[in-house]
Amino acid sequence: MGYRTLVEHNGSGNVSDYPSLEVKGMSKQCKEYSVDLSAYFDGELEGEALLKLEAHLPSCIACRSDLQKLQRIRNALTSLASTPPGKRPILEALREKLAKETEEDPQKGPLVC
Amino acid sequence: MQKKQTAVVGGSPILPQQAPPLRKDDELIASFKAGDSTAFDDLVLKYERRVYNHCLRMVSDEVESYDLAQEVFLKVFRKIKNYEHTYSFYTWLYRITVNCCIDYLRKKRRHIQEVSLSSSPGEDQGEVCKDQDIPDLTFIPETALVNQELGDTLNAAIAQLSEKLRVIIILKEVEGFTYEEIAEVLACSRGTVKSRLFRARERLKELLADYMNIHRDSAK
Repeated sequence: MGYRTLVEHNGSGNVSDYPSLEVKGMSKQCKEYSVDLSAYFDGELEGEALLKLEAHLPSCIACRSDLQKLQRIRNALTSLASTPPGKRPILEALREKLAKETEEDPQKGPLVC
Repeated sequence: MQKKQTAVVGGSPILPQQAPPLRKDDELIASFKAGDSTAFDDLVLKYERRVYNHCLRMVSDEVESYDLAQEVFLKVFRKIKNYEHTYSFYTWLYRITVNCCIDYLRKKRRHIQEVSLSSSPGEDQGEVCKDQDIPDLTFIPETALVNQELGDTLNAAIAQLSEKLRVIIILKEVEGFTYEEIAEVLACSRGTVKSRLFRARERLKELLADYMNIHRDSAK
């Protein structure tokens, strides 16, 4: 179970349906959870650590606020566009390079292994 | 200038807007090993954009990223006969890509240090990159970002992460790898992935604090 599941369990399915949670600082107890919280957000927390965090989250605004921050960062990063690799296909440049190498050093052999 | 053409050594002619190959990686590798050079072309066509973009996020320079992507596929070409199916080809390819980027960044840093040795002795070599390690952010994406300002902000933040933190945040948040896949690519433990991702996110929270305050209600 991870962050998504928690949100879904709360009948939301969308983090923006939570009121915006802004908390100045985390308690000592929350700081102990922070590494696990990051893994929980990724759906990668398991076992006892998962159970402990899931018991803690419903009553902790600071940790839920932190989850929202992680979501905002993810939203931003996934908005980064994938760019095509230049004007010239890499394959074309690669073939030329391999041909040149083979020409200079026939020992390196043809394209096929 | 782009040539109009065609096969230089083996392989099929390069056609613009070529449809992505449908064969699975394992089939392509087997075909290539059996002598079908077009299978390697298909692997390149299938992954060139992802490899190039990973390099671009890592080194923030279009020209260097293009060269690095070529270097990656040259290494794949030379090593593929020894490729064993312990990991998926995808993971193996990313391991080569990550190593090429890290090597490039280290060489670049070493070069900068050599040049500026007399002026900055004894600087802290900690986890966070110094200004001199931050590449110029020269790339301008051709396709739409939410907006250019956001793209610039994010790329600047990524560039300020150390190499270790940068690579892990890209693999997770941009490429969508699982912890297990990241551990395979970086040859480290799952625990290391977990702790480095945490540190990368903590650093990004600091670097993107202004952005996150402005876009506080935009989490989806």
